[in-house]
Amino acid sequence: MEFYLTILVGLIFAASTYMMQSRSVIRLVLGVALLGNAVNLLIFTVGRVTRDIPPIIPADFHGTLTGIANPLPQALILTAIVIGFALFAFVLVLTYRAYESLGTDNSDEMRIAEPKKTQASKLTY
Amino acid sequence: MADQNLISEAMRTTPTLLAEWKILTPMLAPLVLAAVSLMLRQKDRWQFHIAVTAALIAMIGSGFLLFDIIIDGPQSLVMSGWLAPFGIAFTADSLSAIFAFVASLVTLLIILYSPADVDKAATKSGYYTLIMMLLVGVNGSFMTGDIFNLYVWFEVMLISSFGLLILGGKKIQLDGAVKYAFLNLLGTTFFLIATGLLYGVTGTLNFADLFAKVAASEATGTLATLSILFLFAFGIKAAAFPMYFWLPAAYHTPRVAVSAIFAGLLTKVGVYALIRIFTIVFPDGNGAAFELFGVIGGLTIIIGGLGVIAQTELRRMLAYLLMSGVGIMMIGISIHTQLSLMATVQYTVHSMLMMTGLYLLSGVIGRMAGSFEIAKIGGIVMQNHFVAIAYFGLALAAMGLPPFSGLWPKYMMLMAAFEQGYYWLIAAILTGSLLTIIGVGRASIQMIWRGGGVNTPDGQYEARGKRLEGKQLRIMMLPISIIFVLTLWLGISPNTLIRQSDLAAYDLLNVEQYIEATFGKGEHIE
Repeated sequence: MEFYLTILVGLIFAASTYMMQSRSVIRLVLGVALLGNAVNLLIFTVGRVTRDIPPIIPADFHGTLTGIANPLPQALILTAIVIGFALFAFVLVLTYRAYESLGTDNSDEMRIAEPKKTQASKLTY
Repeated sequence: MADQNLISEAMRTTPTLLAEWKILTPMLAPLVLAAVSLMLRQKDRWQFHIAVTAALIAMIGSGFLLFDIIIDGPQSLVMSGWLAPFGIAFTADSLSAIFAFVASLVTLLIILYSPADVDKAATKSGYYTLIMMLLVGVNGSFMTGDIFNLYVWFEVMLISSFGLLILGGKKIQLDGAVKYAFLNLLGTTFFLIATGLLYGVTGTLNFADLFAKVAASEATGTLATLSILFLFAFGIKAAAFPMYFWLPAAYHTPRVAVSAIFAGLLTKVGVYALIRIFTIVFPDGNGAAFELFGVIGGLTIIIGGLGVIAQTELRRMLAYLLMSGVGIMMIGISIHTQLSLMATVQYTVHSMLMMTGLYLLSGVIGRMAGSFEIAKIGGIVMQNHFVAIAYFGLALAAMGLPPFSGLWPKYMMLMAAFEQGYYWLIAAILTGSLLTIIGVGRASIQMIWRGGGVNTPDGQYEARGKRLEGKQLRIMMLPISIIFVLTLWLGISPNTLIRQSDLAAYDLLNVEQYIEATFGKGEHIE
């Protein structure tokens, strides 16, 4: 199971890397979202996937259970999903606002904050 | 009873004393007050006072924490009564406390500057709330004893910085924010990847536990790869070459107070994370990491220095100056001796104060001249002597010249490199310093001494910008003067800071105390 999940994680990483190489900012957003999901799956896989008993301790039992599924990766993923979702929402709105006010979604044309080439000679001191 | 013993191996059976909560004050005070300020966001007059209180409590709290650590050694508190490594630990050693103290001080000074720079609309949109949340994230990163928790604090810091960066929504801000947001998001995602894989290899996330587990692990190849992955992730945060491009693209776009808090705090948290990870998780560098630190550090200094010369916009020039300083901190981690780590801690504290001061001052100069283009700024010395003197002093501090605080850490770093025989690192530091002196000096001549814009004849004075009215200038100059006095004091009498950073470096190289504090004295569980 872990073997196939590893390959799946690799494929998603490859897809997101491909997306993030694009000049179009919206593809960049999708690439980042894909990367976040790949990481979640990665944490799930490194936590050792087992089809064992859920880690619930019976009421009258005090001690450590053996042969249970690892609950920690799921707690980590849950945190990462929530954070990733918030950041994704922010980036999506940012991209939309940037597209609205800059009039482009091509990252090569987003150069308002950069020094202008034609001005360089005028501004040397 | 056997059951009771099992529980006491994983949980505290004694009540938590109120005094043990002191480690949380630097985060808890701004967090609670940020929530209060959010509820009172329509009362824009109260916001400033709430923020001042928050930063003040955080500063005093971390100051007391520092005293306790000097006397008793590192302090620790694990959440919900679980014992480490099961619960989430907050562990502070002298490095955490020093950084948290200076970060809270810097935030306080920036909040004092803010009324001159932040209008009513921005206050109602939550400017002060975001500043407080940024401080929460920064102090949390300094105090946490758990690597996944460090990731969470990084995100708290990141989302607050996004908010601050786009507050106002000008075109140029959105443009800078797109680059800043994507590259930083990528950085934290790589941090999460590395954390996940580290958990897969060691099965733990607690720093103190990782120390033993990583040392005992047989997967040396995987761990060496992971150390480089961490270097990459925090390198983006710290703006080290070649991962720095987001910094000069974004730091000149928001309002000046926001640039100043970013310059003072954000890259330093990246540096802190590098110091922490490479002293407790990978204390011997695991393979080639320390050599790579040296290469990256050397290149960062030189590229930063060249950037200082090349830039024509004041705040972009300062961004490269900031970057060049990060290189020196990286070199300190690379040499990895008591002396070099001490110099790194000292330089980080110096850089927090000095860069904040320079950015705040760029706001005053920019307003006097009506432009941030260095070619259009001129005659500052004729308009206001105090501004000129403050700029001159902070520029000397940035170059590392006496009598200001930049001299000592640079000198000690050179000494550390000399002791270990890293002659090319000495060459890199000196070349970088020379480039910085040329760049900052050239800009100072234009801005301070020349009468006006770039074509003004010598000896003639043309006032371009408007004179600042007295009250506003006083608000702006108060925090700058405090920073000026502090850098001068740390330059003339550096012993206080040297003693503290020596202690911090000792704690970093001898982690037993840190581990003992996290696990609780005498209750170590195997």
